[in-house]
Amino acid sequence: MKKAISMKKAISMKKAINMKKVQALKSPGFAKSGKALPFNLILIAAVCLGIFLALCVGKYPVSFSASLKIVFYNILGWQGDWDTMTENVVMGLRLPRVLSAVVIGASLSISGATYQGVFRNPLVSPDFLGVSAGACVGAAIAILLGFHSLAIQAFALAGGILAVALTTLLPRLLRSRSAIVLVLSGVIVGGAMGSIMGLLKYIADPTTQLPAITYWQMGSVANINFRSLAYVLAPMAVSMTVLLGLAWWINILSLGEKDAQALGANVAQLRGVTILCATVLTASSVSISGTIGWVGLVIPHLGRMLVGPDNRRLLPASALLGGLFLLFADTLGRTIAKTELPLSIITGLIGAPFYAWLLYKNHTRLS
Amino acid sequence: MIYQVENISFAYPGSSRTIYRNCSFELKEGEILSILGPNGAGKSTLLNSLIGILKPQKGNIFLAGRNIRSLTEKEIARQIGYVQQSHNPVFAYTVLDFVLMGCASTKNLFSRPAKEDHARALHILEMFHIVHLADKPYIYLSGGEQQQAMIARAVIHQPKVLLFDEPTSHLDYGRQMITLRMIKKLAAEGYAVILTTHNPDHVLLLGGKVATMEYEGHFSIGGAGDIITEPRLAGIYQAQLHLLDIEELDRTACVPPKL
Repeated sequence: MKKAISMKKAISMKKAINMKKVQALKSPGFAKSGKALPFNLILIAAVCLGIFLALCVGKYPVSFSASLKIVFYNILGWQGDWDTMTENVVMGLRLPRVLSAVVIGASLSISGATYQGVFRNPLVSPDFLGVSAGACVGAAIAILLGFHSLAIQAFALAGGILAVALTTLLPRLLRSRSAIVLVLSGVIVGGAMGSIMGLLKYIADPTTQLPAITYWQMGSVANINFRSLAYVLAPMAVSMTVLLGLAWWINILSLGEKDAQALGANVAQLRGVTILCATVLTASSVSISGTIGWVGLVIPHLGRMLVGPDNRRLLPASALLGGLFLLFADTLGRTIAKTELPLSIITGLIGAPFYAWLLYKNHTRLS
Repeated sequence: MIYQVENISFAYPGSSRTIYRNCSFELKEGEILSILGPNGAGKSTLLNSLIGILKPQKGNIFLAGRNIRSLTEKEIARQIGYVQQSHNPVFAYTVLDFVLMGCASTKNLFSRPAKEDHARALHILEMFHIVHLADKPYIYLSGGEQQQAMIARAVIHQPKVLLFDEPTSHLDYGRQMITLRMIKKLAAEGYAVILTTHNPDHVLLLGGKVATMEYEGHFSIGGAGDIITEPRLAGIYQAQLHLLDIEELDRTACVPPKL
C-alpha cells in the first residue's frame, strides 16, 4: 500500500507514466481494440463478398464474374456486352434488395445494441418503444386508403415516430426521468397500437387489403427500389454516424442513471439523442421493409460474444454482422422455396434457435 | 475551501419526512468528514445532494466557491470522485474500460479516452496492485477488488473531493481496514474526503470531522471527541454502546456490551 501514498502526485506527474512500461503490460483494451479493426475488415470483406454472391443466386442464375462486371461497369458508366435481361436482374431487381437487406440489417442491429445499452437491458429489441407497432398502423392506414409504395413508406415512418413520441410523452406528463417508466410507456403504446392494428385488419377488405397488410407486417425487401432506399438513406447515415460517435458515452449510460450523472454525463440529453437516433434507424428500416424481428435483438448479443460489450467495438461489429445476417436471410428466403418466404419467417427460424444457443453458451454468466 | 454547505434541508417530493434539516458544514483539502447514522437515516441522500443529483429545497451548496445549482453535471464531476456503495453493471466491461469511464468529465461529447488516458488508467491500476485484473470483467471481481477498481475510477481525473458511500459495508474485516487506511492516505495526499458509515468505530479510527444523522432529520457536526458520545450513540442506534480508551493502541474504541 505504500506505493499508493504518492498516488495523487504520481497521477498528476506525466513523467511517472512510463509509456513503454504501460504498453509492455499488454493491456486487454489495447489488444482488443487492435483485434477489432482486422475483425471489422474481415466482416466488411464478408459483406462485400456476400453482396456479389447474393446477386448471382436466384431463379435466374448469374455468374459471379458477370455480376461483378455489371455492377462496376454501371457504376463507372461503361458499356458491357451482356444481355439486357441479365443487367435488369442484377441492377434492377437484385442489387436494390441486396443493398437494402445490408442497410436494414445494419440499422436494426445498431439500433438494438444502442437500446440495450441505454436501457441497461440485453433483452430489449429496437422496436420496444413502439416503433414497429406504430409503423404497422401507419402502413395499414395507407393501405386502407388505397395508397401505394412511397406513400405507405411515408405513413409507416410517420406512424413509427408518432408512436415513440407518444411513448416519450407519458414520462414527461408524469415528470419522471426513470427508464422503467419509459419502458412501461412503450408497453402501453405498443399494446394500444396492437389493438388499433387489429381493428384496421378487421375492417380491411379481406381479398385485397388484408393480405397486403399481413404481408407488409411479415417484412420483405423484395419491393424496395433505389428510390425508396434513397429517401431513408440520409437519416439512416446521420443517425448511424451520431451513434458511432457517441459509442463510448453509451457505455457510460449503461452504468445506470446515477453513476452516469456522477461521472459527468448529461443523462437526459444523451439518452434523448441516442433514443432519437436509434428510433430514426428502426423507423426508417421498418418503413421500407415492414416489420423484421429478431435481428436487433440477437445480433448485438452475437457482437458482444465476439468483440465484448464496449460499444466502441460493438456498434460497428453489430452493424456489419446485422447486414450480413439479413443479407443471408433474404437470399435464403428467395432461394429456398418455389415462392419467396417473408423475411420475418426466416429471421425467426434462424434467430430463435440461435438465441437459445446464445443463452445456453452464456447461462452461467446470466445466472 | 472545497465544500461550503449552508443550511440545506431536503424532503423527497410528496413525503412529509424531512431527510435532513439545516445541515451546514465546511470542508478543506485534506480533511475527512465522516457522516454517521443508522440505516435509512438519509446518509446516501445527503451524498446525492452533495454531487448535485438531488437538489435541496432550502440552502446552498458551494463547490470550490461556486454554487452547485449553477454548475453542469460535468463541472461537478470534474471536482468529485464518487465511490458508490455497490455497483452492478449489466455488461461485462473490463476493469480497464471501467476505470477509463472516470475520465468522462474531462471529455467532450463525441470524444473518447485517448492513449494518455489508457496509460494513466494502467498506471493507477498498477499503483493499486490490480493491474493484473485490467483484462478481467469488472462484474466478476470480488467485492474488495471491485472497490479498488471503483476508487481507481474515482481518482483517474484528479478531482479535489472523494465521496465514499458506505465504503466498508460489503467488505470482510481485513478489507475494511485496508479501505480505511487507503481513505486516510488519500486525505493525507490532499483529497477532501466525505464518507458515510454506520460504524462509529470506523469514524473513531479515521478521526477528522464527524456528522451524525438521525431519523428526524437532525444533523450535528463537530470533532470526533465532541460528537461521538455514549448518550448520542444510544440515541442514534437505540442500543447501548461503550467508548473505551485503549492505552496499548493509543485510541478510543466503540464496543457493544456483552450480549
